[in-house]
Amino acid sequence: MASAPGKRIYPGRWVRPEWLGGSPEWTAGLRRHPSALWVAAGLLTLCALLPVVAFPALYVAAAACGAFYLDNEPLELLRLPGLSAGRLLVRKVLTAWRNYFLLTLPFTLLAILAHPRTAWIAAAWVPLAALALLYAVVAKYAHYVPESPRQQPLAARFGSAGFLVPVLLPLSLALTVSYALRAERNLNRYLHDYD
Amino acid sequence: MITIDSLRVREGRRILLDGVTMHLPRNAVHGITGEGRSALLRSVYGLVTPEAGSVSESGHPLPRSEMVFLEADPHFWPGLTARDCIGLVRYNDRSANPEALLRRFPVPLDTEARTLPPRERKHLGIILTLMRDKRILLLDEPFRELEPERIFVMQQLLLHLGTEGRTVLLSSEKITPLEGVCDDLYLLGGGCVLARYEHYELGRAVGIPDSGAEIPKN
Repeated sequence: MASAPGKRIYPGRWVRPEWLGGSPEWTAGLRRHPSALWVAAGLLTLCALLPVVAFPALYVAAAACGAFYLDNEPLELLRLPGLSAGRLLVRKVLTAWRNYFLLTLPFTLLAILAHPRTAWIAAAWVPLAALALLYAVVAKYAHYVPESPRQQPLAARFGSAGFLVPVLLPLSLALTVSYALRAERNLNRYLHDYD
Repeated sequence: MITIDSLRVREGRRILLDGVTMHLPRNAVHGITGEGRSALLRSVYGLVTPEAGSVSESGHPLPRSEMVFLEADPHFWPGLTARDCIGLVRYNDRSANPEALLRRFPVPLDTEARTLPPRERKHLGIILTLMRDKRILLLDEPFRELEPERIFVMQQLLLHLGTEGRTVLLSSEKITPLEGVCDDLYLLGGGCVLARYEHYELGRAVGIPDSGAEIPKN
């Protein structure tokens, strides 16, 4: 997911960490892929106008946003909030949910207004999208090593795929629990006082 | 008092530090030079896990939330502009104010931080490190890449930090810029502390070649 050297990013001020809940992942992700963002916005608008497909499309967007959490940030960035491992994880997950649901709010409203009869699908979309983002965050920090490119194990890749391939979903749910516990232990190594 | 006790750091088969012990009084600027200085700062910060030894403050584990680290060659996360980096610090610490530092160490704000030239990356690293109100500052080669006039500015800032109650550990390849700044200087070599100089003895230490050879007895 790391941008190639020399690849241009969007340097403008429409993307600000203050507006994205202080999330370096979302700030860097939106800056690195401005064209993908416009394409996604166009596709989501189109899907919102079609019956049934709006919420599945929004769910796929949630799984795609999980890609923001593929790279390991430097330790200095991890320690910026000055929180303990558990609290940092909670904050990362809440920020991911906040950013995703705020950015998809216009498409959600458009989908509900365009096809009110299929609005019930949102009841499935909200928890599944939240789970996909939760998995992305905990999977990242379960294997976090500062200053090294992330080596995603095969199980974690199957876990990610489980949010798009229904037969693998139970594996993804089990891995979410396992990674959540492991992520806190792993982050304690870097955030706990010198011991 | 920060106590580094019998610290041993290994990189593969090579032992970088072997039994380094230091007693660093608080509210002072401590210089470190010689072989293994970066490894020492990186292990205190937690980037390198020591094989043995401990780092404590008044008998308690050293609080990592009180530390900030300036890398010798600062590198930044892909996709973040210099303004984003400063914005992230300010988001987490509302009292952090980069204005004065930006005047002293200019940086193009709307450029991807990672792609900045080394000197400007150093400027940004210094801004991000010093704008935060942390008690313990670990500065790895803070004078490297700086022009002479900015070295002077950095020296003045370090003197100010030492007097306002911060504990600064700074490493430097050259001893000359440390003169008049550090309260004491540790000389590392062969994995351990070879000598310690008080601030009034730094004149003697300046005669030491940077290679670490011909080190006089303290």
